[in-house]
This record gives sequence, C-alpha cells and structure tokens, in this order.
Amino acid sequence: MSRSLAVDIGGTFTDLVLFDHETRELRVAKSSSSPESLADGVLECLAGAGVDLAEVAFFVHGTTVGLNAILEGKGVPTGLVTTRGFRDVYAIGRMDKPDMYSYVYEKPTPLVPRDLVFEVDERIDAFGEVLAPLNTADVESMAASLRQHGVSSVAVCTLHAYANPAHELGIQQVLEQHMDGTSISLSHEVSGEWREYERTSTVVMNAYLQPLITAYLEDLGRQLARRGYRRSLYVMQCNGGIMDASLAKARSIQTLLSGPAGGAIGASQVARRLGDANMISLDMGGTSCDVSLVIDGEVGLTTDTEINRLPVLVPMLQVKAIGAGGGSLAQVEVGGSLRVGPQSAGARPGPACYGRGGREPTVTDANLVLGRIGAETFAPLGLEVQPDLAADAVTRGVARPLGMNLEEASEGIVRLVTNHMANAVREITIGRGRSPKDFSLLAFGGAGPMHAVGIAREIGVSRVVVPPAPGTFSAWGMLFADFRQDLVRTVVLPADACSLAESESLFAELEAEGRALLLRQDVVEESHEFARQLDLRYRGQEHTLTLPVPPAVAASAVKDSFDEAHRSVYGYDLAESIEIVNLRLAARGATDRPELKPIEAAEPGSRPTAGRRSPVYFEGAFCATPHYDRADLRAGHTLRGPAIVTEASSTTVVPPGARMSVDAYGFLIVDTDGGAHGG
Amino acid sequence: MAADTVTIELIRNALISVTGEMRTKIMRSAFSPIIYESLDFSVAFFNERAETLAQADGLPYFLCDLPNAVRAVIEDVGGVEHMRAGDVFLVNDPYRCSQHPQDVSIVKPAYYRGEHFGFTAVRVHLIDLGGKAGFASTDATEIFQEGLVIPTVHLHSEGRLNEEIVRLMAANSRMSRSTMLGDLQAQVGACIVGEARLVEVIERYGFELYRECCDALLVQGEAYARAKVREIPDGRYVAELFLDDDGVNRDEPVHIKVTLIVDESDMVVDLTGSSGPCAGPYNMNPNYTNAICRIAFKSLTSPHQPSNEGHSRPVRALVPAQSVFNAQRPSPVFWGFKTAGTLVDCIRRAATQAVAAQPVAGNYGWSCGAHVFGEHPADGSFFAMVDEAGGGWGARPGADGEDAMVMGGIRNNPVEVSERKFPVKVEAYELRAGSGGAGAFRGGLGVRRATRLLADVRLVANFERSQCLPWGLHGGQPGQGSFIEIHHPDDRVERMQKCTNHALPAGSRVVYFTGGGGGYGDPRERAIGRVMDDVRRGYITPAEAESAYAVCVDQDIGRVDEGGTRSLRAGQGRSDDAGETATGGASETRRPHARESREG
Repeated sequence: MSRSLAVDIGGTFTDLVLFDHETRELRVAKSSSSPESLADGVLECLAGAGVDLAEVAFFVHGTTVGLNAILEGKGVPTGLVTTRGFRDVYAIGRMDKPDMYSYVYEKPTPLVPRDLVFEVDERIDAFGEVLAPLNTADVESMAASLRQHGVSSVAVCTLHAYANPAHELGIQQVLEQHMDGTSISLSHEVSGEWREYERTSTVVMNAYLQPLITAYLEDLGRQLARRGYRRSLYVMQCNGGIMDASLAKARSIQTLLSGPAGGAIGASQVARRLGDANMISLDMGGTSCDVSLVIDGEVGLTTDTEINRLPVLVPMLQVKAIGAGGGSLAQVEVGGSLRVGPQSAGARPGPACYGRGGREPTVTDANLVLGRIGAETFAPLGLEVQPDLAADAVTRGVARPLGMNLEEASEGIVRLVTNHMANAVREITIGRGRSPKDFSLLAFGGAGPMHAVGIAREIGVSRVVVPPAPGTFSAWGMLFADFRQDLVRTVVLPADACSLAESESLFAELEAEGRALLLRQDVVEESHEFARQLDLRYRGQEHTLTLPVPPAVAASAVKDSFDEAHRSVYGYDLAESIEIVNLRLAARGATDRPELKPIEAAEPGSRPTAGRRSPVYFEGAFCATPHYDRADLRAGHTLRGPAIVTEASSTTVVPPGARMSVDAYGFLIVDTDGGAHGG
Repeated sequence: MAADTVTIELIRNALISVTGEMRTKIMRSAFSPIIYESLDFSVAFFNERAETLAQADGLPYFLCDLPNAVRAVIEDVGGVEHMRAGDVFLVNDPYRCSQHPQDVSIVKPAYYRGEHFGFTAVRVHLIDLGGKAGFASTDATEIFQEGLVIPTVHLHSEGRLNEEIVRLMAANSRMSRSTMLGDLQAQVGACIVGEARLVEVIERYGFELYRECCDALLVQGEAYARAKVREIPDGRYVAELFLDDDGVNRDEPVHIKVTLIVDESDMVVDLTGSSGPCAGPYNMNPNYTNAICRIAFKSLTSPHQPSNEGHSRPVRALVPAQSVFNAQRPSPVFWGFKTAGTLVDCIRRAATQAVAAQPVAGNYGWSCGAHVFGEHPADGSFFAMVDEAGGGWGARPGADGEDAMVMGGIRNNPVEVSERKFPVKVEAYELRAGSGGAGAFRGGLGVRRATRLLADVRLVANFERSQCLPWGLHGGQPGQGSFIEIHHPDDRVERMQKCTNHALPAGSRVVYFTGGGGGYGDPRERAIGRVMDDVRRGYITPAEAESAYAVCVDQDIGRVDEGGTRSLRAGQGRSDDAGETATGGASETRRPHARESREG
C-alpha cells in the first residue's frame, strides 16, 4: 500500500509512472491511446505494466478527454443563460480578425448555437449594485424550454457576476428545482474575473465538458475499484495542482491541458532538486513543443489562454505551445525560401520514414538522415522506420529544389526547427523581463533531448538537463503536484491603505472558500498553505502585473515592488498611483511526494561502455560517434560529444564540443560549451 | 557562412520574433483602451533604406504605411547622417504618412557598434490630438479642424526625453498628460527593446552575413509575389464602388474606380475615373493610397507569407492629380481609412474577374462606430469611449458571411469594462436579425448595441454603406445598411448615419445598427436545412424564409412545410443571375453601388 501512480493520456500515447515509496523504485510504461474509449486505454496501460491497484495508495490522472471533446466538437448539448439584451455576446466575441492579410476569415464556432441561448430579466452594475431584480418566473419558463431542447448541461453568465453573484445563484436555484439532474455551471464560480465574452466562453466550455468528464471519471473510478483500487482518484489540473475527482466533476475546465501542467510541475521539482532557481522546460513531441519557465522555483499562472481559439479565463500554468515537433513538415516556397512547420504530418501519415504514405520531409526524417536517431528509438513505439524513405523525401522536397546535398538540407531542416524553438524560448523569457542566459534547460518528450543542446547554444544557456525516462516525464511530474485551488476576485480599487484594509477581509473570504475546498477533499488543515497575489497596474493602464503579497501588506511596499516589476518587464516606471484589479489566492495542500533513489555509482575512473559507433552528421561533416545505452550509464560517468544516448522512446544528442555527466539520480547534465565555464 | 537559404530563414524568424516582442511590450504597457483593448497600433522593423524587413501582426492599414513615416523622418532630418544613437523621432504628417494626425509614428534609428543598420517603428492611434471634436469629426473641411500636425520632431535626443514635445502635445489634447506620456513611453520602450534584440541578432550572425540575408529576404519576397502575378492573365480589369458621401456634401456619393492592369509580373492599380478631392474628411494622401494598394495586393498574392517590402514591389498605384486619393494640404483626411477599405474591396472585385481571387460579397463597410466623449462625472477628467462597431461580412461560394467582425486586429469594448470606466450603461448588445443579404449563402449579420448615457456627452458617429448597400453577388441580395438612432430624454427619436459633436444630455439612449453582408447566389437555391437553422436561431423570421428563400415554415410545429416549399420553389423561375441586384429588400430606391467589367 505504498505506491504512487500517475497516468497521463496524451493525444498519441498514454504514459504511466509507478513509484514505490518503500523501495524507491520507479517504473514507467507507454501504450497507444485509444481515442474511442480513453478509460479502456488507461486500464490496458495498467494491465500492460502489471500494476496491482490494491498496492496503490495514490493515483493521479491527467486526461485529454476534455480537450478531445473541444477539438472534435463532441461535448454535450449545452444551453446558455444570460442577461436580457446580451444573448449574442458569445457569438459576437471580440470581433477581431487576427489573420491580418486574409480577405476571408472564419471566426471560431461557438460551442452553443443561438437557439440554445436564453435571456433573463435582471441587471447588476459594475459595482455590484442590483439595478433590476432577477425575474424568477423567466427562469422557470426557460427551464421548460431547456428541457424541451434536450439540453443536458447549462452555463449561466450574467453581467458583472464577478462583482455580485446573487443573480447567478438565484438562477441556479430555480433551474435545480425544475431541471433535476442537469449539470449547471456558474460563471462566477468558474472564473471570478471581468470581461463578459471571455467569462461566457469559459463557463460554456466548462458546461460543455462537465457531464462528459463526470461520466468519464465515474466510469474510470468504478473500473479501478473493481480492480482493487480503494483510495480516491485525483485529477491533474491546468494550474499545476491536483484535485479530487469528485471536485473535477464541478470544475471540468480545470482538467484541460493537464499533461503540459504535469511537465511544468515536474520541471519545477527538478529545478529545486538541482538547485537551479530558473529553468526552461521544453517538452517536444511529434506535433508540437510546450515551453514553460520555472522562475525562482515556481511556474507562473496566466488567465490569457485560448483553446481552439476560444478564450479560457481560468488560471493556468503558463505553457506556450509552439508548432514545432518531430512531425513538422519542411517545404520550399515559391521564391526559394525554406520553411519548417507549423504544418505537421501528425501521427497519420506521420514522417515519411514511417512508411505510412507520408511523402513530405519532416524533422524526424532529417534527424534520421543525419544519423542522430536510429531505428531502435522507434521500436518500443511499435514503429519500423525506413531510412530510404526519409532520404528520398528530403532529396525531393528540399535538397534538389534548393541545390543542396542531402545532408546539408537535413541539417538545415534541423537548424530551422531548433531556431523556431529558440526564438519562442527567447520571446517567453524576455517577455517576463528575464534573460535566457540565467536559465538552465530541461528537455523531455520524445524529441526534446535530441534538439536541446542546439537550442541551448542559440539562446546562450550553458546547462541542459535530461531527466530519466524523458518520454514519460509529464506523468512523473504529476506525482509531485500539490492539491491546489486558485481563487480570483475582480475588485478595481486604488492601492491605498484604506483599500488594502478592505482587501484583507476579501482575502479572508477567499481563504475560507479555499479551506472549505481543501477540506472537502480530505486535505488535513495542518498542511494548508495560502499564498496571496495582487494584479496591479498604474491608474489609467489596463493590463496588470501580478505580484505576491504577504498578509497586511503596507501600501508603500506594494507601490515600490510594483514600480520595480514594471521597470523590469517594460523598462520604465511612472509617478502615477497604482490600482488593484484582482485579488488572487492560491490554496494548497501537501501530498506524499516520491523520494528519489540514487542510481548505482560508477567505479572510480571508469568510463561508460559504448555500444555501436556510427557516422553522425554535425556541422557539415559526418563524424564517427559512439552510441550509449542509458541503462549502462552510472552516476559520475562523464563523456564528451559527439555522442548519442539512447533509451526507450527518446534519444539525447550530445554534439561535438559539449560534455555530459550523469548525476547521482541518473539525470543527464550537459554542459553545452564543454564545461569551459568551469562547471 | 554565406547567405544560404537556411541562414536567411533563421534571420527572418529572428526578425519576426523581435517585432512580436515589441508588440507584446506595447500592448501590455499602454494606457489608452484604443491601444490595449482595441489593439489599434502596429509595429515593424526596417532596413536603412526604410524597406520593411519584418512586422508583427497588427493593423494592415498601419503596417503598409509605416515605411512612409520612416521615409518622412529621413527626409525631414536631412538624411540618416544627421541622426544619433538614442534619438527617437515622432511624426504624424497626414499628407506624407499616416491617415490622420492621431496616428502618431515613433521611429527610432538602430545602430550596431555605432553603425546605422535600420529603424524600429511603432504607430499607435492616440485617442485625441485636438481638433473640433473629441476623437474625430465627420464634417471637417480643413486639417486644422482635425488635430495637431507634427512634422518630424525629436521625442528623444540621444536617449533623453524631450519634455517640451510632450508638453506641446498634451496642451493640444483632451487626454491627460500622464495618459499621453504613458502611451508614448510604451511606444518608445518597444522601439528600444526592438533595437537591443536586433543587435543581439547581428552579434549572433555577424554584420556582413546579417545584411546579406536581409537583402535576400527582400529578393525572395519579390520573387514570390511576381510568381503569383504571372499566374493572373494579363489584362485590364475594372471595378467601381461608392461611399455613401463625404460627410460634407451629403447627397453625393464618393466614386471609386479601379482599373487593375496586369502585365507579366507587374500590377498597376489605376485610380483614374475616381472622384476628385472631396470637401469632407475622406481624402487619402498618395503614399497612403499606395500602401493600401499593397494591402490589397498582399491579400491577393501572399496573405500567409511573413511580410516584407519584397512582397509589394510588383504593385504600384497610379493616382491622378485631382483625386480623392491625392490629398493635399489643407484638405481634411480623418476618415480616409473608410475610403481605403472600399478601395481594397474594389481591388478585390477587379481581381475576382481575373479569377485571381475567390468572389466575396460586400461587407458592412470596414469601420463604423459611435464614439462618445466628455467629462467624467466622477472626477471631471476627459474620457473618450471609442466604440468600433463590427458588422456582417459578405457571403462567398460555399460559406455564409461572418457575423459581427471588424477588419484587422481591432476589438470591441467589453460591456463590463465600458461600464466601469465610462458613464454609460449598455442595455443591449446583439446580432441584428435579418440584416444579412439573402442568398444561396447568406451575408453575415450586423450588430445592434444600445447604450444609455449617464452623463452629458458629445457624440461622433460614422456609419457607412447605408445608401450604397453591401452588395450581393450572383443573385444574392445586398445586406441591410447601417444607421444610428438617438432616443432623446423627451422621447424624440433621430435616425442618422453621421454626426459630429452632437451634444446629448444624460439619460439619452444611443442605439446603433450595423450593416449585414451581401448574399451570394440565388436565395431559392439555399439548402432548406440552412434556412430552417436560420429560422430556429432567429437570424431570419418565418416570413423572411418564405419571401426571400421560398421556404414555407409550419409555425405551429416549427418545421418546414415541404409541400408548400416545393410549390413555392417550383413556381418561381430562377432569377436572372447575370448581374448584381442593385436594390435592397426595402422599397426605397438606392443609388447605384457597384459595377465591374473587363476591358480589352
């Protein structure tokens, strides 16, 4: 009864990590996801890995069931209730046309069609004052229509509900009386922030998923119980925390993007373990690359996220997805320029070398031509790759049209995809007022460790870290997540002594709410932690910066730290007074985290034994390069590039000039400049 | 390393990344809602010859015209040799660059180890820079009524802010000095950051290689665009459209005539035959006209290619001396971007005949809005609520037009934010049912927004395409036109398209209706299922289903009456789909609004 288990369903694969707290052994497994029945996929993965659920004390799950439903438009029939006069806020959106030079643009399709949007008489103003009372008779007749339309979930978003939720609560009460068993989502509960379109989109998405997530988690819970699991099922959330499955049934939207959140939390764990305050986390797979930043040991949150072009106004870990992966396509444009991505060959047909009908060259094909990956990397995924097809595709698609040789063209493709990621990382770090040079880089996912050193060199990062089992790292990270709920309230107040005093009582309310949520999940009170933040801006500005604040903070301290943050991010500060826009509270509770086990140490002075040696192309020439099996590496081993380290489903490339060492826990640490800085 | 294909691409991506970063900076640190909420600004980077190398997503209106601002700066200071590192220039001369004085360009020469290598530039729309009305006027007859014109000035001299300029501008604006300064600082901050990043790029690749690659980018862009023009059959393609009026002479439409001359890999947009200079503020300067032709050209030839100057080298405008497209001081210019929108539509129409573009029916008119300004009752400060109202877009083969959309990155004001910031209460914000032109594919819907004023304000309104309606194509009907209604506290109702400085007391209600897009194809060929969806969703009424689409709805059961529909659809012959439908569903007779032909 001392095992922790994490299962993460991704688009293509389901990953499993099992940790035994007694022996400190870690076991990983990977199986193909089954989009038709995700729960069955989980069970198959468990069976394949031989997990005895009776032995498991803690099970955290990241699922893509919500994301799939949104991408495929397969949520439940959902109704929307809103303030009279504002039926079309959701369809109108923000009216912008981001695709700037196209004459024709298609707006995102709303998840609720107009005939399922209902209006109710009520009105609250920007300060929370009731201008017109809620007409409950309206709601009653609406309940009848909603039933008639076969709606199984209802989203409610009334104007200014963030300032005063009374009418949303009133609507809920009436609907519950008249629509037994229908799931109801309230905007102020899903998101406490202003901007009616964004909040509507958020609550609609929650409602659209709620019955699906509920059914999925209940089904999975039953199946797990039948197989001997006796504890609670926990679900990974987009804010990097976990929650009890029973709570997920009311906050379904927080299950979105849980995989990337697991990776980011894992990165913050690694950063802490290695004593690196700042770390770039880079998860590169087949179609995209997720990048996040650990700054001072934490990954920041954002509410500025879109899913399938629809805004989601809930706190999510800041993870930026870039359209660059092993499947990214390389194309020569009219005019003679070479482009890599964002189009991808996806899982089907996949890269040309998969032999599934893909004809255009991809990044994976280029890496195969260069000898940086071998067929053995693909074998555990059940793939038999054909190098001839890769060479053919690169020759036809890139080398011949540009008059380059095969290897030059392949290296060009790899450099470009590396460069895309380097630019993205640079934008993210600098956008936060940081220099990438102050970070180390953690690379995982199937393709991350292959490109990591190249990226690091471009952005001036000198230390790259590759964790054990990089292919299942996101699931590993989930084992380190705390319980977490983020609560937000929009206030808009001057940041003076008087308002700060007022905010104390609001924070106390949020803490009470957070405490109740944690207790509902049986998190003992001793482990509760509350962290406060303020969203601040200069009076007259719109966008805010989020700063942590202690309880009973002084107005002058708030002003000083805001000025400093503004200087750091935007390069200037102003004499203008400042304003509080949102209060944010993170309510956390601790979990039983794995204690890692050191790997076997190398004999003093011993060198790792290389397997085969093969020509690998680096900077214009092939050089004989040793390949190492990661399982043969011991703590303390070091080696110099060029070298290739292979393991199931991932390959680490150590190019010439770099130096790699193995730390006590089996993490690969690569000095990109060969340790010239003395590391 | 030489300027090989891969390095060229690496540098392209680096430059785009730099402009993206500049864009984020400005968006998140600006003070005016028109910048951070409506995103009415643009960012780009130029080489030393003022040729665009990269730009961030933004307003195409601005982007294609930013090089003109850089050129104006170079010209005014007498060449780059008179610039110093740390200088930042400001310019808004609407006869050489910019649409109107409120569009202020900030241009910063960029240096690498003392050597000049290009410019970073940002243009934003400052909410107020004087003029007879807050925001804008629809009836100005001279530039002096429209705002302060600033020829090139040093906003920073060798790194030091020139406070005098800010004072001068603030003294001529209704905005507070701190808001003005905040917006300008945000612009300057973005330019500085951009320059620093570019220097890093140069250090990474070396100056020589960097320059070679930048030049190669332009060559590639031009090659791409020329290849696309060669695909268009040589010839002269003509299209004509009209604006309702020029704001001053209210009975006279402004005529836009485009002859697209395609010759091998070159394209000329000949504007001969368009209206002469107009009395009201709808004129465009020739540089801006050229820039707009580039927008249209880019959308035809390379809409998804990262943009640089090379992409627009094959196109130029031919502007007659006496023309609405050749604004000369002191003619009024503020709303020239509406002329610009219609010019883009007109070029598109002409190109459609050359089968160079998919046909798309008319849209609501690119920009309509009701803007109120005055003193905020809470603290007496000046406020301006700029409310850009989107509308319906035209249908095209295979797809209905989009509802409620604006051109470019401009966004609407959230109701919850507006009510917090401005003395208003929004009473309704909805799609305007029935406004989309009927067709096999229906035009998109316009919007209706009703706002109660809680303070005495003044109103500037400008609604377009109410006389010359959003046209239908191939038997599709035009969309409904735009207008605004003012419900006075004494129950009087005024209906109009344009007004300036209209004083409205607290308690008045302003309700606007924006136009729908034109339809495409014979409405009687619209799939019955689509018509029924429209009825169910309230986009059209059952009566409209019958009159416009020949679909009978059994209202008792909310289903289609199949027998009735069959006889209705069979009973009527197909409409003559050869040309346009020049009149709307309404009974009033409209002016001609669109023509096209192919010559020679």
